[in-house]
Amino acid sequence: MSNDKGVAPAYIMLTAEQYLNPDVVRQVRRLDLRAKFIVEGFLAGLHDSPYRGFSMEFSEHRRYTPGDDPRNLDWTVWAKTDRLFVRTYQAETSLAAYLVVDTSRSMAYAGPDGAMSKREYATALAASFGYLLVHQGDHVGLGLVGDGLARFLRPRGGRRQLARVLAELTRTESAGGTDLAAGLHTLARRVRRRSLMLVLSDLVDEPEQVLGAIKHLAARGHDVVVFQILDAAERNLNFSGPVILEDPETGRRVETDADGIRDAYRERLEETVATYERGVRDLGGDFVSMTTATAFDKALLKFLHERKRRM
Amino acid sequence: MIFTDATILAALAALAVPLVIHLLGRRRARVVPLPTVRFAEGAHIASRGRRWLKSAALLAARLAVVALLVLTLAGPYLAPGEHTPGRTGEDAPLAAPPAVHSPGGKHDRATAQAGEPLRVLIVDAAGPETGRLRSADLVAATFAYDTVEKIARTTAAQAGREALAAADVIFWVGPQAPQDTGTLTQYLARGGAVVWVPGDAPQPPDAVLAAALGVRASAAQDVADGITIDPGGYTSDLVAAFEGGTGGDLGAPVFRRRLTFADAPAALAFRDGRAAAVEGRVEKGRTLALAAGPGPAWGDLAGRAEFVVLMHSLAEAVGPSREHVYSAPGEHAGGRTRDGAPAAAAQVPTTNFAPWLALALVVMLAAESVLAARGASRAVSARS
Repeated sequence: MSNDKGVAPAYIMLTAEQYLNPDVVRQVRRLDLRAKFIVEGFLAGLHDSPYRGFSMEFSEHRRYTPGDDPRNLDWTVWAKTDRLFVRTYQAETSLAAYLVVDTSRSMAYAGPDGAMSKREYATALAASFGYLLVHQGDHVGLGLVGDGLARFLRPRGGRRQLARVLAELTRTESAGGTDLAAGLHTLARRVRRRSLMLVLSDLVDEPEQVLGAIKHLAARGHDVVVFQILDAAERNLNFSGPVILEDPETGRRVETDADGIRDAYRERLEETVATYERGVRDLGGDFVSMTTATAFDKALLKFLHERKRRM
Repeated sequence: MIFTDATILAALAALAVPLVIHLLGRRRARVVPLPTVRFAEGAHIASRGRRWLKSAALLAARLAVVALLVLTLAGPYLAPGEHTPGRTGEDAPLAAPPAVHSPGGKHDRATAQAGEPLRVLIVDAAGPETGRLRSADLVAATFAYDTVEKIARTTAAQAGREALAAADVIFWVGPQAPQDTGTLTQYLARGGAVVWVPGDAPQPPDAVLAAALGVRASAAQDVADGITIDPGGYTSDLVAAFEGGTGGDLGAPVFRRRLTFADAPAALAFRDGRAAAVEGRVEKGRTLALAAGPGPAWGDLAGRAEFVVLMHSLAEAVGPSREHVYSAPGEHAGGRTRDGAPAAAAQVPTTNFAPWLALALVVMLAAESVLAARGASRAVSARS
């Protein structure tokens, strides 16, 4: 149930933790509101955290000098004192960040108990990153990766850019196979300015190739943070009894007993996750593995941590 | 190995249930989309052997549970016949060899060879009954003629399986209840010897009993004058005791023929060539079926000394070569001494498997529970 703005009626009553719960976020239909919803919930929980200064926090007033952005004029002070002051903020550096979202068909997957599909989760998370970036005066760009680099937006600041990014994220459907490595290689070739690459993918691909592409990005001076997003059903093989497992991308089938292979499956999956994590960290990047049931703050904190490191 | 109630073994068909469940379970696989199939593929190949083993172990445990349950209910035991019957027995001869028995005859040879008496049991469909002399009483009397007042007859059910299993020869009188016929079949299957004697009622054995005995018989015309056995035609071991007239003259008594046998070689023939007794073989067992009963209404055989000799000859002919002893019901082949006192109970080495089977059943149930619970807990953890 949602109102005209696409917000659940319970919106007002939610606690900060609930803002970050995918089950709750799912009820917000519009992506921009969803991002706002997540970020505001996240910021509400940051009061005592070391990341407090990352939000658009007012620092001090100083006298206006020609050349200052008139948008920063504090009209309340002017009304009271008849003098022009501008607001200054703690974070005034401009960061260029790319939201690299995997749009392959495998990302459309939602397990039986999944609150949202991997793609929905990645989109909400990317939108939240974009929201945070734009509202801190940073520049945000977009790279949608399927078989290759399907869509590319150079980083810019401002709400209009955020709207463009969100529109692209909303518009592009999950389809086709995965060639994340090819997309990242293309991105590495096209982006010359040192940027923060926020890669959101399930990484259902060959680790060697993907890590090779990340190495390419790192070699170009980009900071890479990889958010691996899996469904809980993928993570734990939450099925029981005899099943025919079918890959939605390739149509490949395996008939097996889910209970019988669960341990071996988890072992193999975790091994691959560990390979990614080790590989990305060795390249100076960061790696976060999560499921669609993970609260959004985990990824947002990682993002803020990475941004602080770059400041 | 024989069973208290072999009909329960039919329940072994229930073994199909776990098999069907197993096979249906395999077909129940549903298609589930999963982008990370390649991990499942590797896991499937890697754990194939282990999964097969677990599945097979669970199926085997379930089959074993069903089989053990059925076997336990069927009451299996190792009969003494499978331990060489009477070998350890301490039976005392109850009845003296018939006075008319020829010295140096088969009876004496058998006694000299085996040194142990035959255990003869008389089974009557109607069971003990007072106030009336019946065929079974007459047969019983021939084996304890000096203690006839102490003789009790029994039904197969009353006798108990151990007494039946311990008997070297059973005189089976008249038709029997179907479950008793099943007992008879089991007894024969393990090498027992049965002499079937028509009861008081003039009816042939029913199809089930006939099959158990290995003979086919139909009711014959009641010949009023009776038929005598040709005294010159003694060729069978059954009448060896009568050779030379030492055992009496079988041609003298008047028989009243009640049955006509089909498709069976006559072990003893009437004068007109028709079978007076036919021999059958059922697995390891031997049977002898008589066409004329010894009941008093049927002829004068029972009143003659030849009758005693004939009954002993019949027992010797089909049973193992040993001396006769009559086992009264409840004495389990212990028999009675000549003065009527109970003989020492035979140390019949019967082995009852029921406790072991019950133990194995409990173990299998536990194994099945553990295996099934492990599968269930995996399923629960998967859902959670």
